[in-house]
Amino acid sequence: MICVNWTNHEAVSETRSQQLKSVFVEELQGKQSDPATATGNCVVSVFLERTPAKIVVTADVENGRDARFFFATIPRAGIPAENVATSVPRLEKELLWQQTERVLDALFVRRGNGASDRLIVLQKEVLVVYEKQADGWKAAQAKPLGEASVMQRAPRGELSFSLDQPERVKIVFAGKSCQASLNDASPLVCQQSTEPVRAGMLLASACDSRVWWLRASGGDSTTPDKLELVNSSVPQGQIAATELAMLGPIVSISSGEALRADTAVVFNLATGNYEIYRIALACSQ
Amino acid sequence: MRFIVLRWLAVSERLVALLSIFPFAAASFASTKPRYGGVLRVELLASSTTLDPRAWKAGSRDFGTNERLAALVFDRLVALDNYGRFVPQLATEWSHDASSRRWQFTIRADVKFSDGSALSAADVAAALAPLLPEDLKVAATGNSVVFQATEQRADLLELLASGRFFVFRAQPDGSLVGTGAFKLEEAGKGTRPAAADSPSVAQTSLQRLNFAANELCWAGRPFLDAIDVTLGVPPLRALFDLQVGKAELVELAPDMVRRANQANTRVWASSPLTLYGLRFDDAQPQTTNEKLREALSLSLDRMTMAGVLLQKQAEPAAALLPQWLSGYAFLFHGETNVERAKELRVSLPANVAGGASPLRLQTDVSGDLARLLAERVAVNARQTGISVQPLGKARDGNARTADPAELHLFAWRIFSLSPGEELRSLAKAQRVEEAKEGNLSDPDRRYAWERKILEERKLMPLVALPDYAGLATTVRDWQPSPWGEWQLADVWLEPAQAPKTTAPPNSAPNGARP
Amino acid sequence: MSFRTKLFWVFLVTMLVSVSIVSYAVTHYSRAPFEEIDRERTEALVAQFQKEYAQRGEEVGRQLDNIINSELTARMAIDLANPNADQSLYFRDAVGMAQEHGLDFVEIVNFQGTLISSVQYPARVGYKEDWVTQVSDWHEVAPFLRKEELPDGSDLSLSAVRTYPVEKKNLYIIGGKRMDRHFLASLVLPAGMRALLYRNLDPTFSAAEIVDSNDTLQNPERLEPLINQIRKQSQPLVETVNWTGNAADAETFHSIPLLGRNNEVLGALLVGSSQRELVLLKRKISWLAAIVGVSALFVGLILTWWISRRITRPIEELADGARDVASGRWDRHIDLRGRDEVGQLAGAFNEMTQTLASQKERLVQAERVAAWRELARRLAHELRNPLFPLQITVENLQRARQLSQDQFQEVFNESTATLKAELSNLNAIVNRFSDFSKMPTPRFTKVRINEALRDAMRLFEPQFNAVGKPPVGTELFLGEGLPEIDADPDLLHKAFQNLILNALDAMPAGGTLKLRTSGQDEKIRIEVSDTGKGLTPEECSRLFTPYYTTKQLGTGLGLAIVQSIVSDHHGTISVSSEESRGTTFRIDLPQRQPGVLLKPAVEEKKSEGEEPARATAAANQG
Repeated sequence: MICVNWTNHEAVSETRSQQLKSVFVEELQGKQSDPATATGNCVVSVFLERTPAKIVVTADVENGRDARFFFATIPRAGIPAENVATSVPRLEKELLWQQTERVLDALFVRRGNGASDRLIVLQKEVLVVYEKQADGWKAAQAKPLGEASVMQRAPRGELSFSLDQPERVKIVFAGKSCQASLNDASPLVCQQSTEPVRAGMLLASACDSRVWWLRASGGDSTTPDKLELVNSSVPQGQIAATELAMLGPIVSISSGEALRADTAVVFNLATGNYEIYRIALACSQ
Repeated sequence: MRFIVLRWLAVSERLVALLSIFPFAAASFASTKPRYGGVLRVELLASSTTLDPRAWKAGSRDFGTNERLAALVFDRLVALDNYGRFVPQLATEWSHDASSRRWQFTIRADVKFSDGSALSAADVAAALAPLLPEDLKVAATGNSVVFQATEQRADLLELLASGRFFVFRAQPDGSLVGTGAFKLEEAGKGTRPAAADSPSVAQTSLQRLNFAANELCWAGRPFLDAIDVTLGVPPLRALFDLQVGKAELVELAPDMVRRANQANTRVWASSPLTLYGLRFDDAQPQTTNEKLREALSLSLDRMTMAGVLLQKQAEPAAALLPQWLSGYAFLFHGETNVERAKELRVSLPANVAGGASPLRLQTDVSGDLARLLAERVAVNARQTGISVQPLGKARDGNARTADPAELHLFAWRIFSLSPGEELRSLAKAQRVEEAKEGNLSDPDRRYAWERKILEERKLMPLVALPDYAGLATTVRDWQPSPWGEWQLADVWLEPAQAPKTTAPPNSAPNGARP
Repeated sequence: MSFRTKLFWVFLVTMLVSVSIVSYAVTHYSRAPFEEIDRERTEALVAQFQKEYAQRGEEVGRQLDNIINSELTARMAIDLANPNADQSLYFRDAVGMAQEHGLDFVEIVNFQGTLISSVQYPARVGYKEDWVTQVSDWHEVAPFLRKEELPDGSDLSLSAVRTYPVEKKNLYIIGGKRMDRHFLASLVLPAGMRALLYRNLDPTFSAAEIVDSNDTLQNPERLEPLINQIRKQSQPLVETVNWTGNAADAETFHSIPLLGRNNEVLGALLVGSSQRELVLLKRKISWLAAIVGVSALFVGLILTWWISRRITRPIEELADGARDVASGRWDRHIDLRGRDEVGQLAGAFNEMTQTLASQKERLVQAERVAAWRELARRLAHELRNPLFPLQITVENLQRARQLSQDQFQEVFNESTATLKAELSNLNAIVNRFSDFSKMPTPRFTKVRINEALRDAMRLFEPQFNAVGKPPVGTELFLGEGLPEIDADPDLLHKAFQNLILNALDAMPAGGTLKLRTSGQDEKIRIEVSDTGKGLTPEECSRLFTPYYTTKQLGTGLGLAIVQSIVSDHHGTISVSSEESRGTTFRIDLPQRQPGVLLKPAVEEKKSEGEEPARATAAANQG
């Protein structure tokens, strides 16, 4: 059994990549192959790389401790046009939480490795950390904003999260920037800040390496917003590639999953509740 | 697999950085229809330029500046779009024989130079002949030009679609004219682009260039009325000018990118185009010691160079050709193993260079970045017991020593889309023995030679840097190629920036550029 | 050595010693104030330096406090407290901090001791700076000197460290200012002084590391020994450096080591004080002393000449006068004026000679009277002896006229015999007196003493072995090769006769007569010795007195004649005697007589005209 490790580095669309892979495997003179088990023990590794004018196919063939490399090039112009660069994923939403208290911003953090997922909710006066249990979300911590909170008519706030520092969250609101630890009850550490609040968030596609900009359509608080997906390189002036209608004005958009999915907070005009959604891109084929 | 992970991390890091660049105002709907008019103000870091392709030096850091400006006034026979397609330019069609040794290009008819004279195949041949590699000859036949190579040239299109292969005509006064979307109107503090053999070319220092729209352009008048280029702008000042609205497009130095991002400036980054690396001087006998080379190579911490010193504005380089050009760079690994390096160093005789007297490291390029990299190389090497002394001005003000250095830090700017041509030129410039592997168009042979160079540690890549530019929000249809061509002929400006312009442009059927 | 020379040397030595003592004292005691001033100025400069150093350190600390209290630092600290923080974000932050706060060196180190950002050596980012994390509270640590590693060498800084704690994880900010000429330029230097800073950054001495704010230092390598010493022992030192061969160019350096945190010598402050003023002063003093000394020499010569003229001349005149008086010119007069002691002495001398001259006649007259009295006494004494028997005999004759013819004839014959004998005696006496009075002035000629002695001896040879008398032996010890002397042979013969006769008379029982001659110091010595009964000291003292005799039948003139002759020959005579052993007469005669025209060895008749002079001379010598 020969194992083939097949990697497409954005050279071609996944569909075409799979087609090429099948052809390649069949060409291995009838040898059986198991493309599903692409692990480090594979004898043959094939990589598809894109260069300006060509697709470079590299085959790494291991024979014991030796490895040999074989190359082939395919002119890109020779490959029929496909939708790789132009396909637009669908926006999907998943309701995570709703409450009546005002929510300024929220973050959904998928932790994995057995740790409970977290939902971090920024309210006017407190930061609440919920953890996903078997029977739902349970409040794990509540950090008062204390002196940092300011009475505003229409307060806005923003949560920032980085996978590099999963135990911390940054809060920008009311002219302050604060750091909060998610693992203990230590208070916030705040200082003055003039950072403005974001109006959108990047959202990456799980199907390809494209990254989009997710934004609200920009109405006032009396009309329902739409989530719009635009080209991330030049978000201004771009028409939306796709839209997702929401049930009220969108309060904020953040991301706790390294752009694989965003978290949107929406005020449901019908129920008067603040709803927290997980927004992700589904591959459209 | 590791590469994929690295790439994802690289992407995610880049994206996290890019997070801050987006404006926070509410989205506004703007028109997507290009508008004519306006002057694009461009600021570049290079202090001088020459628009004469014959004077360009392969691999020099100024190549990018020269090429970008030359692309305003000159055209090539073909171009390569972002989808991998060769697009006709001055050549409308082409063909080659079975061995790819003979190529024929049909020259587009009714193309005029900016002075109104017609373009002929002879002009094309005359312009390209001095620029071609030794194994390639060109001749005009009727309305075609024929390229004849001594061996297979499967990469001729890549070659002609990039680098210096512009078509121009030398005037009697030595100046050059082209068929591009712009023409050079005025050069402040210097002269017009002169001929290559003119004594003034190499030393011409043009600090201000004004390019006006070429109404006779075969591809249609550009949207912009003019492009104003200022050279030799300090990096911080360029960013400042962009931020206060004194310029619409500025070249950014790598150490300015983070600052630009923090200031929510629109930043563009190319694929890695400039390679920084080390070369041993083979003329110095003590540097031929393989263990010494290996020890030095293992001591180099490329990740820190790219990730910390260059603040993630560069990538660690393990190969000579970048991944986007060769497609197989991921097969090379720039290993760092300090312990192994120490062992090798200890096994070396005490009098080997680097022990009793330091290895002298000469930076072949100027600039703070090169100096910083050289210092880091010295620090890394010192950690393993190899003494490296970066050469520069001593503290007492004396000039650098006249003795030849054992090590050189070089910078190489990618200039061609032909990986074979690129590798050959790089090796030649760095005095590496000519490839015996034959035609480097073949990726197998090219890979083999590159591997040989790297295994013998004739050259040691360090980091690869993209080009960076900052853009004003009024710059529209900004679609540069990943390999650094700006393609300003397709750019237009938002109305707020568009000044009280001149008359509407020529609206020929093919006015809009593809 | 003459008095004048002695005087000159005394004067000169006195002057030179005085000048030397004075110049040494002036030099020595003028040095002390200079050194005191030098020391005070140095101390003041060092205090100034220390104050400036402290102020600069405080400034560094203040700027670091400002950095620590900034929002940027707070954000950075919070972020970097996370082990996974993106450190590259802060790679260039140290540059901004340094520019904003006017520091030359700034480094940022995270809680793990990893260098995050560096102004001076950005290439070292990522490496460890463990020394920073080893101190728990940097606020307690005063600013310190530090050797900053740079890409192209090293530098010296005055540094401090501040921390920003975040949950017990500190962010460290290390900041410093360069110790260079600008630091030195802030010191106010008195004239003649300068301050140098040596930065001990290289393993060996390097002249390039000497910082001089005025750029006046030349030949810096001359400071190498001093600096090497201070590098070794890290103690303050004082040493004088001679920049050129000229001592005025010397400079005394007080060097103070500057220590780092671990007491390593990182630098040295050298306070230089020019010795020019002191050296020039000393030279001036020396020149002055030399000029004074030379002047003293000349002055000494002049004064010596002048003083000696005033002192020695009179003394010499006095000496000449004394010599003249000794030679008989009693009328000598010293012509010296002045009321000082020398003048008084001259006056006394003149008075003495006047007195002597005036008393000379009276003395001569008195001597004459005394001599006549003595002669009359002696004559009376001499004449009385024979005159008494004459008187008795005449009385016997008168009485004998009463006797018979035969008895009268017998008495007449006996009386006439007695009269004849006594008359012969009287005649002898008169002859001796006549002889003594007739002592002539010697007439000098060349005489051989030995021959003269032999001649005299020959006369008495019959008596040496006379029948019926005890024999007298003779021994002659006559020196060989004695030169001829200027003498009167007759007078010498007479003198020798008298001496031999005396000797024979002293040995009535026989004995030995010795005659000895010898020559020394241009004199001839003649010794006549006998082995008689000897003389007592009193007899010796009166021996040469005329008419003194120990003999029953002597007139006492013999030795007086001998003495007179010897005196006329300008010689001396002495006697030595021992009772019962004998007596020796010793005569010393000069070989040459002053002013004498040598008479050929021919006898000349004595003229009568000379007698009175001789008599006078004999009387004078009585």
